Amino acid sequence: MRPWHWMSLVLLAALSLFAEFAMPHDAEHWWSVVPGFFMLFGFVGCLVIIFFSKALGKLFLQQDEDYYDDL
Amino acid sequence: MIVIRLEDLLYSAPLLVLTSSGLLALIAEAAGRDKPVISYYTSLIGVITSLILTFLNLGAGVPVFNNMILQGGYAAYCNLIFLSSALLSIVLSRSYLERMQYHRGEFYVLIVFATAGMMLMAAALDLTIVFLGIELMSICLYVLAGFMRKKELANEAALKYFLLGAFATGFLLYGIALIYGTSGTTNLVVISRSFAQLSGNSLFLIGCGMLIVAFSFKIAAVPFHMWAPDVYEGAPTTVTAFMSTGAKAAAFATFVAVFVRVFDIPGTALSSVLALIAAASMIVGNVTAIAQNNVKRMLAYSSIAHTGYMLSGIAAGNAEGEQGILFYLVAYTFMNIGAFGIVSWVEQQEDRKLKFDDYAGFSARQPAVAVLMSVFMFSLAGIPPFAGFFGKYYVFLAAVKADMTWLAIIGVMTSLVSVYYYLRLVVLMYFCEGESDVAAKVPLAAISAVTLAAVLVILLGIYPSLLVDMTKGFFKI
Amino acid sequence: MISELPVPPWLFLIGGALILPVLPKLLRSPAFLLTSLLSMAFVWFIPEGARFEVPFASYTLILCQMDQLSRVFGTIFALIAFAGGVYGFRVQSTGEQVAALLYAASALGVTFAGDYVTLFFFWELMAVSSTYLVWARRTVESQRAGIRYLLVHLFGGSLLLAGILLHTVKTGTILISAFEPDASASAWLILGGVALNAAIPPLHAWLVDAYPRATVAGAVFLSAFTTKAAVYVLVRIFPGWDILIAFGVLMALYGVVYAVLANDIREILAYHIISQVGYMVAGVGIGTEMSLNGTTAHAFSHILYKALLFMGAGVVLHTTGRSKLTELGGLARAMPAVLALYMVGAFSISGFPLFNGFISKGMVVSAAAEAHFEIAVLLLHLASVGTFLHTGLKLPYFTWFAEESTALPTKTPPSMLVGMSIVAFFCALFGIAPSLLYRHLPFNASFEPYTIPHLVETTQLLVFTFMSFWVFRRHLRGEFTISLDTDWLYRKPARVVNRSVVLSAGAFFDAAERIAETVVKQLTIILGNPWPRTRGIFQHEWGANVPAAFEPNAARPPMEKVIALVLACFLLAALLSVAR
Repeated sequence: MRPWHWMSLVLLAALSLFAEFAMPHDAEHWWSVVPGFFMLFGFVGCLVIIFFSKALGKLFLQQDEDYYDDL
Repeated sequence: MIVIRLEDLLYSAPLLVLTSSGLLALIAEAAGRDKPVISYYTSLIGVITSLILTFLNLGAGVPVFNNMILQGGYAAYCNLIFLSSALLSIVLSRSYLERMQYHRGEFYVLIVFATAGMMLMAAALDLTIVFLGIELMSICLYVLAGFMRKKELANEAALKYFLLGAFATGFLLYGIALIYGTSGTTNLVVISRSFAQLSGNSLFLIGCGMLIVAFSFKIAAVPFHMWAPDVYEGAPTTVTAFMSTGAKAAAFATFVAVFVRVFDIPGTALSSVLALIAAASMIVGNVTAIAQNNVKRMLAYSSIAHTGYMLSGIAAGNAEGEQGILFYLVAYTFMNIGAFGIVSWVEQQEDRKLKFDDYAGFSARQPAVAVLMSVFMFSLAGIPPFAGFFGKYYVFLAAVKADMTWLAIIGVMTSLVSVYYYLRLVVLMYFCEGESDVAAKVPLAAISAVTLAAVLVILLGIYPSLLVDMTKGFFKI
Repeated sequence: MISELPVPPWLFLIGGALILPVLPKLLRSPAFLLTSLLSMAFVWFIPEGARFEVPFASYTLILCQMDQLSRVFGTIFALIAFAGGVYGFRVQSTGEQVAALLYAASALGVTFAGDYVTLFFFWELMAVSSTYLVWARRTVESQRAGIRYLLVHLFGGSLLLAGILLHTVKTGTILISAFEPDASASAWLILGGVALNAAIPPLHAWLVDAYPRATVAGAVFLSAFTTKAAVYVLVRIFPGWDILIAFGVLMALYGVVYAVLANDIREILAYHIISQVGYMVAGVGIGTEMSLNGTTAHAFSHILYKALLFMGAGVVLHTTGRSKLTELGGLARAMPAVLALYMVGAFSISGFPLFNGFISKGMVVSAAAEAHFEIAVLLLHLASVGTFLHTGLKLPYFTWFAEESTALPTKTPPSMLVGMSIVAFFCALFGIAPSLLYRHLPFNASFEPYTIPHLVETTQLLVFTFMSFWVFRRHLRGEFTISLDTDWLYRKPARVVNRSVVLSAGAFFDAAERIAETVVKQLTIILGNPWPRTRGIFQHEWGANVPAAFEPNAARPPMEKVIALVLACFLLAALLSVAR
């Protein structure tokens, strides 16, 4: 990841925020009025998925690769 | 006065021709020693002629010989099964017996006489004829089972078969005696007219129960199946093919003739007894087959399972069930005889090459034979578009219609189990490394016999109404 | 002319499967492509409403029935059969090609079936032919997985058959028509069978068990047909069954959670099939015209990009022999074209604007929003985050970047690249010009994907998912483990069941037989001739008379004379009766 990669990502995010404010749309759902809702949702959702799954895996789902072989 | 009419003889022509050819073969065998080929061709010609005559006879059924036997119609349909089974067995046997060094003329004679017995069984309109047919068939089969007389396993098989067969005969005779005692006749048509009153008579029901026991022995239904795996394993492979198709079909044909065509069993206790036997056969046959390592034994247990499927058609006792069994018998005959035929090609002397592992990598050396075997295995497993699927479809549909959904569910679930052991063979043939091959060069006649069976299995799988429509009118008497 | 002759499109594929083995080796792959093109042509030539009927026992089978819904599914099935054929041009064995053709034929057969018998027939053919694609990998693992796969599918087929039998007995018709929600036991049984093929948890484990073990090209076909044919049947028979919304959303997340734990690249993709089919199932459950259109469109898109992803993973496996994240990495320089084409698939599945996932996934989600299933909408967005995270970021990152490569890939066969390019082209085409697809959708609902709010939310989700991934990427590194799934229920207890049921049944009857034999033996001794037992007393007197060996021929009476007599009697009887 070079600096210009990050720059363009930030630019994209800013553009989307601008679009969200500049072109208001019908507030169909409660999240439509939260600015940048999907930014937060994307970031936190990703975290939740990673750590929730890993926790489940450590709890009981993950087993050795030869788990079924000793049958 | 008892008279024999000309029509009686004409209608019975297939039976008479077959019997005569058997006798001729016997004379030839006795006169020209050590030329089994003569006996082979004589019996072959007899079976084929009889097959052609039976085809001409397929119209409506006619009672002959003073209402003792039925010719044409239902009997002719069943005869086609027995005769094709005999034909394929004879053709397959020649090269097999030569290889095993047991090629004797009397083998074919015994097959022909057993077939004659089967034809009598299916044609019987009288319990005495049932008895006569069963004995004629069974005695020939006892000898055939022990045909390899220097082999210990074969001797055990023959003796076991004989003893248990005698036991079953006892049941049959006691059953017939009780039925005769309560109804005053052994004629099935007469009994059927008074079935409604008789079914309240407990002695009559016990008689029917004994008949069920006797037939269950012959069709190898659980819990009377114990002879089957040993006998099927010990007997020469082509005889096993004949026993598990022709003999089983004959016992079923009689079972249907007595319990479906004549007695009106739906709703009675007999029907639930049959349903229980069917369920037990399906479960025990399929589950035990999984544990087998010998292909012949696997096919023996699978044959017990198929008995269960067909019995559920009898237990349902409706039109779908009847047609279903008749279709199933044909499908089963061809797919099973084909499978055994291929087993007999692979088998070598002293029971070698009968294990599952001996089929590893078979497809690499014998691609065509492997394809044929796969067709039979898929059909036995009941996977469309092969004939075995529609057999199961009809009998299970019959069970659902007769309010025996539980039986159909057991059937469907257990046939799922069966997929495992049938396809294990297919997987071994196609996806494992191995050196397996057929034991020797297989003659063209045997190859074409098995190919014919495979073609029929596929044809009936794609176009089942070919047979089903034919069987519609068979159950009015 | 063709309109008068509605040949079922699958006929060409079955015909192709039959003649392929006898063709010269050089012609087999071209024949594969030709038959799939022919079937595609007929999917398009057959006019709407055309029927191909044959009588069957007392029913009429409708082997082929054309309407807009069938045509969309038929088109994509035929298209992917062609693309898969190109991809496998050089790497597929003849057996695989035959199986793939039959598999494609049965998927088309399901799509055009007008009655339950035809449907069931192709349903089972689909199970059998696809099993071959697993077995054809020829490893011990794939053999076992194949058997499991087949058994589970036949179990599903049995549920379907049971439902069909019950339905036929009750209603007297075998024609396919939609069930009212919660209609009857037969509807639930049929739903069970279809749900198994659609891989709805807990009936999904076969998919992730078998697909990662299939052949390289086989997995491409597998990813396209079975689940999507089931989705088609759901759209056809079960629209508006509420329970499907809950299960669909659950599926979408289920696949995502397991994909975090998976180490095999094709297993990650397999779990994401479950996730993506979740959108479609939820769409069927919502049951509005918009959502059913969305399901259809998403199935269409999904087949394309999922095939592309499996093709990319297949190239990695084919050229390096490895498929685990823990053994891969740094391959980007060795196969830039494959990476680029894979990323087209990854962008599509993640719903990037200008790719086809964007135009179809949005439809399902906005149908859910319109019907006010707010929780479902948010959870589907969450699944979408997970999709990008795994197929778009984790998988390519750890396969082509991350550390230096230890694997030395062989050259990628050009046919594989061509196959991938074809699919990638369509992924982009439908993304850029969505009306090409929308125009053919079966229901009457319009949808405009390129709106500002849709673009805004997509951009925000994707950008911040990426940032989150970059920060926490080391947590996603592959691990040398497998994950337990519902297949545990039939894999782990197998041995116990084998012991307790199979062997004990045999042992029981063996014991019964032994007892019977012993009893008989004792009885023969007790009831037998007493003379031999007293023989020991006179041994020295009688023992000398040992009989000579038995000579059977010496004991034979002249049989032929007796038989000749019998035959003569026969003849006499016949003559007499003729004379009368």
